[in-house]
Amino acid sequence: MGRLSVIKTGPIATVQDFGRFGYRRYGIPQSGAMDRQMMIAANQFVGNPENFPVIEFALMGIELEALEETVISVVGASLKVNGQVKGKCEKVSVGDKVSVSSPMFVYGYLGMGGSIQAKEDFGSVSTYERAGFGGMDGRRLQTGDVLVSNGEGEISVQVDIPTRENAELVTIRIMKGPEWNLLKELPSFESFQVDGSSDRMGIRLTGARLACDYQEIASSAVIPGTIQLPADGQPIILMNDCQTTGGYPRIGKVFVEDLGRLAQMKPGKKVRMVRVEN
Amino acid sequence: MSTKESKSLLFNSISWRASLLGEEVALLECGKGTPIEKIHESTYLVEQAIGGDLIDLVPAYHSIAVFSKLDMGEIIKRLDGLKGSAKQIRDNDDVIELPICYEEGLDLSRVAEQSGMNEDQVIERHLEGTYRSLFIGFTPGFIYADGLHESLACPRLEQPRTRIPSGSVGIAGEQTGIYSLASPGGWNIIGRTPTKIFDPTKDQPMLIDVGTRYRFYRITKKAFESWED
Repeated sequence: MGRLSVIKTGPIATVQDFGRFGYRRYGIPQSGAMDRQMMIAANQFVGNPENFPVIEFALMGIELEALEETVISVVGASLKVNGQVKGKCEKVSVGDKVSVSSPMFVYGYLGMGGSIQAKEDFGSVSTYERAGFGGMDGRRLQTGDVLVSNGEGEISVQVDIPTRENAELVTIRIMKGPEWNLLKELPSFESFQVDGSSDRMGIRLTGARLACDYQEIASSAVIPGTIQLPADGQPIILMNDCQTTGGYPRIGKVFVEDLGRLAQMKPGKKVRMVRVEN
Repeated sequence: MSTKESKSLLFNSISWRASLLGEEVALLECGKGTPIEKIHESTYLVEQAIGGDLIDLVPAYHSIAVFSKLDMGEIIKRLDGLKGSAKQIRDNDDVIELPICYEEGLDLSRVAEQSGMNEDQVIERHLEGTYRSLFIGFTPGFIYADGLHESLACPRLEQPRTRIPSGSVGIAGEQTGIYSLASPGGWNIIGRTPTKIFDPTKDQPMLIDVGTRYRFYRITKKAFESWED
């Protein structure tokens, strides 16, 4: 059993697993880790199954104190224990001060050996704040929370960490969406800037505008990865916490494998969307 | 053109266009004139036809999204030519009675002003209506419904509220709906029901199924405050 006390946390740290599936008919979003491959790596480092809950953090890091011997991992950020720089995973002992840096990209992941105990709603412990689902009583982590895992875990070193680009321009693969034919130009002709207002619900792209025979559609299903095109021609790529229906044309959909790379693009970075056959 | 691109099919006596919304999501779309009952019937038929291979379903005004690991060709094969029989269609004659407190109607006076009636007349007309859940969206459990009397139609608030309490009964243009959870929103709030229409602790969290009708009966503010389901 692992136990960590939260001494200090940034504004956006939540418990996430793969998310909720099968409940969109009730308006319930998928949620889950924004960068699934990185989340999987955090679990592999502590010997967990891929879909165990992890702590996802953005903007800032987390300071913790070990209350019991605990196997931990940090992916997408760096780890220090009692001021000493460590690798991706470490076994910490009672009283150890654990310091997780702010993420290298946008989201970082903290794993614990065993399964982190959190509230389960609709088959998942992923935090969805708006409805108070999952996580620590449906909210973000806060000082004083104690993270408890129900197993030991074991340090594992043979883990592939997914590559995330720090390049100025990143190419994302997309497939056609139901309203693709409204477009008057190929999306790949333009490159867009990731806007600072992007969050777990969606990534807003600004800068360029896509020419389109704009029309609103009657509300219809949308999913994470759906590329909506509002009247201003600036696409919004819906992400894990997105709503279940929407009224903007759905010109495309980002391939599932590329959503993690997209989620890790900092505001100001440029994205190019290239259609590939699916 | 990839074989996975748009295809047409005839299902439940309606022409549909099938295309991919995602790697494992097929979107079935039909003509704008299709009555919502047909969408609900078809949704039920999709559930029957896809059975255990179905992960999720999202019906909307003129579409049904089918979440399944089956490829689109297989989904089309199972649906093409399929017809519903009255026996297969879920019986939806039930009318659920919901309590409503109009003293909690933040925008009752605005709706009255818009309609040219006084507040009592607005309440009376609202109580006369039978509403029907069309689909769920926006937030978990938010019910989009029809059945609103046209005289009660009222444009959205110019400035959305940051928090609308759960159970609030809203009007946006000719649309009506119920806020299942406290959330931001720009609909006119005519009243509020103390009944939990969405209960996340239940596996079937919706009190009112899509396609089911509901009516309101009036309760006092006192009754509202001490209400227990």
